[in-house]
Amino acid sequence: MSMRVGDESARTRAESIDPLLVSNEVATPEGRSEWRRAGRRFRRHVPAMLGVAVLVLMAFACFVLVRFVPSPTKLHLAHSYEHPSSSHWFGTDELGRDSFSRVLHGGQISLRIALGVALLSTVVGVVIGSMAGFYGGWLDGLLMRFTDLWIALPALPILALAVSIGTVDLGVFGGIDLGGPLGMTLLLSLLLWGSIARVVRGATLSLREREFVDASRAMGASNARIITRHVLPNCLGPIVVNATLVVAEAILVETTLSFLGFGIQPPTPSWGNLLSDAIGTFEDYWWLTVFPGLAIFVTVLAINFVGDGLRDAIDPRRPVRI
Amino acid sequence: MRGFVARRLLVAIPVVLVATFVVFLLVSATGDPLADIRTQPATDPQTVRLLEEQYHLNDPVVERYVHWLGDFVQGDWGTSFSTDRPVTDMIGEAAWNSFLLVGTTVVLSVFVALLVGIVSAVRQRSAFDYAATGFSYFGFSMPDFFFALLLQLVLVVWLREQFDVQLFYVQGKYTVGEEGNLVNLVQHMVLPVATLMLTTVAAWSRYQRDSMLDVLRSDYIRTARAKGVPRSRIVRHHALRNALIPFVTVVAIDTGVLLGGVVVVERIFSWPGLGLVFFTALERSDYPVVLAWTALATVFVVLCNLVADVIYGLLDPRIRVSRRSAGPSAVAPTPAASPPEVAAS
Repeated sequence: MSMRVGDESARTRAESIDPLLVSNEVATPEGRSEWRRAGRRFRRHVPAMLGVAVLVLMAFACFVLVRFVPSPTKLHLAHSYEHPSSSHWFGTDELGRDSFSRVLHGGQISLRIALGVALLSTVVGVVIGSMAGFYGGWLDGLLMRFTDLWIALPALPILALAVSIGTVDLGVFGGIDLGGPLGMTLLLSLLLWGSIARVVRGATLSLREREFVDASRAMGASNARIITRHVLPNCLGPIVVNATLVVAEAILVETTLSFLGFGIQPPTPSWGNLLSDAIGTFEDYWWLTVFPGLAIFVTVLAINFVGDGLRDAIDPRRPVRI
Repeated sequence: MRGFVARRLLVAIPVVLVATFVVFLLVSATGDPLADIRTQPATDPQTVRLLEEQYHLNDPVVERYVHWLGDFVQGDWGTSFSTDRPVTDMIGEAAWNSFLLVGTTVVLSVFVALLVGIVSAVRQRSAFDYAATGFSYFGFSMPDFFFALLLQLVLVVWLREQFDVQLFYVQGKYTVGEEGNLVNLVQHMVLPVATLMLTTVAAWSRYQRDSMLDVLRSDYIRTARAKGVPRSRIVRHHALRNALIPFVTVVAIDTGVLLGGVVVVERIFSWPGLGLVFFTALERSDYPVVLAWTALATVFVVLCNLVADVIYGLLDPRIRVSRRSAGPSAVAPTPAASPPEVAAS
């Protein structure tokens, strides 16, 4: 078959969303496809670019710089509770461990978990949402009711409960410690896919009625092919925006759980358990709580900025709110 | 309308059943409630068998669930392993304390969020609007445990060291010896309520602003302006009434979600509420309490969603007709720019 509908390039994809854009295609030069224009709008979004800068810096610090700082477990009992200084940027803790190094190592764990959660929960959410939206009927009813139920569960208590189960034996995969980084990633993904499923379902519901879906069906495309080649590429925008926001949510939930003692356990540092380590002495040694806390805050803030920038860039027809 | 409510109720029942079953599975997976007794060398195997019999521990999980559900519905929530008190008493006491925190938070947040949301929508792109937006970003991105610590650092530690005054307290509900003193109670409540309010005000004010902006752009508002209705009257009578519908719904839903947030705040401020009961029980493997607690929390959340649904149907007749078959997924149509969900707290 020489002609396939709607899946050749990002440009055709975007145009199939909005028939009006097809007429634009004639007028606009090759270099101004929908995605490029979205990219340009994104680059002009000042808070979003600030957010990107902060995230790049944070990722650089937590994944590269972290190899050049003193070990987070190296004890210097003679140097306990030192104020922030040029040799210990974030001061030292009770055992003389370098707090800067611990914040970076903690960040590595927290960021890895959050990125893993965004990836996994997006996959789960996309599968469930697109099935519900595309097939409709009783499957839609069942899946969406399940999603509502899942969103309704009180997240923190349920997670704390699940973590206290401890190690789960998964047969061929071996045992997984639900309180470890891998276990946390799985648990959080299991809990946070709901919003993505809803978004994808909504987009799929309207996309499946479009002419290009009819066209490809007329050419004999299977349901699976229509979903993966025509429907999903067209909801890429909302999916990306939502995945970004899930990263922020995952960081907040993971650090809260670790703070409460039901997440990552010391000596493995996480931004959350660094804070709970320091809470007993925070009146005297403020730097042990303030720096990890600020790290969480700044990262989540940057992600929220990027998420909003992406949303504005991808969906310019949405009225601008800010 | 009665049919609408009945339909929603019927949908809520299986949701509650499935949710409590999930919770039941989780709790029964956390371990063997008789572990302590079994490991004691002096235990008679006969006793263990009797206990197993008494608590139906050898039955299949579905049967145990049905059994537990029967007791739970009839108000028999068992006896706590660690305190030997009826679970109903423990939860009842704590629930009242939590309600005090959550109730105060909701009332104050609704007031502040409405005000902020309306003013920033009416004066879009004003300095006030930008400040409110900035505050919302702050609220979404601030983990509440860190905010609670910062509040303590500034409002308690710093005030004490600089001015030697103790305006607020950070532990419990009353200072020892001051029980029943209203002023003392308020001094204890300020910081936990402020922490809870950070997220709710940030989310709700954004929500109200967006829904208000949507309404203000609609055709009937333009018509009203065209025929010369004064602006203040448009805002108060034409716009606000419709813009309040999604707001009321989101408040109802988030009140359920707040229960998750209050867990953290109670732990930090040692507030003798439901959160403290839950974590103490979890740390001591006190299964009857954990089970009753989580089941109750789930029921409460589903109930809040139901209330939101019904309110929405009540206020907006279109919902009753058009969403006949949509189920509870049709709760509140989120404005496109709705902030990240508060659920994260």
